[in-house]
Amino acid sequence: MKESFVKTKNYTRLLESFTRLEKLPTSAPRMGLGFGNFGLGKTFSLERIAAQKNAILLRAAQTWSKKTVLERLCIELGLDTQGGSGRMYERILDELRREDRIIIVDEIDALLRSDKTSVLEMFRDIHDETSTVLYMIGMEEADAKLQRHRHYYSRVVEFVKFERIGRADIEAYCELSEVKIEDDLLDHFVAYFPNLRQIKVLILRIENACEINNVESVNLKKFEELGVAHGIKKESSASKH
Amino acid sequence: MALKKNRPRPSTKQKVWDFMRRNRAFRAGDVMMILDVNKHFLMPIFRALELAGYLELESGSETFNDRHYKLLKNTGIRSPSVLKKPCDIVRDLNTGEELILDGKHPVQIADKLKLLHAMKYDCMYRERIAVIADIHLYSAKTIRYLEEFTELEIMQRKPRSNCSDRRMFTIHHDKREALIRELEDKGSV
Repeated sequence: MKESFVKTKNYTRLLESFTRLEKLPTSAPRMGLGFGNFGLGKTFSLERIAAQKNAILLRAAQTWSKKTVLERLCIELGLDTQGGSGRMYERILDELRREDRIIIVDEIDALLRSDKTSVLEMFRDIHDETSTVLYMIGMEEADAKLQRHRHYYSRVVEFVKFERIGRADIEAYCELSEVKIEDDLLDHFVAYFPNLRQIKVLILRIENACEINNVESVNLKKFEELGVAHGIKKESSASKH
Repeated sequence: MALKKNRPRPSTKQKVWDFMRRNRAFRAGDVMMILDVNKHFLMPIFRALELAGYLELESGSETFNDRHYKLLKNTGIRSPSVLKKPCDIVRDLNTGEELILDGKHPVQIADKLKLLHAMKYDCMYRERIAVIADIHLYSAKTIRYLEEFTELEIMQRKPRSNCSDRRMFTIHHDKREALIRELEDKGSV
């Protein structure tokens, strides 16, 4: 499989959302929320955007405390981690007031629990004090969970819901395959495997099987003969995310 | 609020380092795909960082893209500077340390000793040596140091047998033990 980034519809929407937030005046709220199920390209999209925009990308964990977050932010901003939380917080504010850095918090679900509200609130304080763009990414339920924090939610001005992977994206992904994926198999993928992780595994298995069997092109019949879909759960074409 | 200044755009090497720090365990092909870099750019960096003990090859095959690496030393936000000439040199801008990888660096001596101690039988495949030394067969360390041992005639290729595509090596224990002694002396100094 060729190593090339597929600019999926979800990725493009997320990138545009970041760009819109960056363009907002610093007097306006600059928070965004991306949410959706696994396998829709969230992590790879974020990694690419973080690299492009030189953003600070943090992955929230259940074990996070205010202090661990402040230490992480200090490290990422190249600041001293000495002193207590108050000093680190002030250093971070000073730095973010001077330099424009986007902060992305992936797996925000870990902070949307009642015992993590103080950590979540700290991010809001940093955003309010510095006008830094803060983008949160979580699972499908993150939107509903964040709505409970009404004062927080009111600051979120960009929403991106990661949608089910469409035909154009799957087609672009299949074009990276070393083996030709024929139209009826593509339709099958669109109907039953609208998930990038699953498609990737399937294509890699198809490539391996085709190398062994000296096959250059695969249609639905051949795909079923090869038996490469074992262990991958089919999704009903009717169930839309 | 005063206008904020934009940070200068990071170099591609810096982006690779940032990616490694964020992910700790990653696939080479994913780095290439996400950062739009090719293997000719990535391989020398990975080789030097592996030899210097910053990276470890965890699994993979002959195909570079499929290799999974683990970042062992996250020393800070600044990407190490990697020079290829006169030999691999890793300059850590976070710690100020400079690792000249000319084969005499303590990190390299330790890895060479691991491989030499693993070569305890009279005839061995490279695969067997790597397994005993607990260093991946396709690691830059295995490739580089076993090549060096072959040049020093510690290992000698045996003619390829018809039934195996693997290459068997005769181990010359006198030369092997002499090198172990020399390296252990250097290591203790």
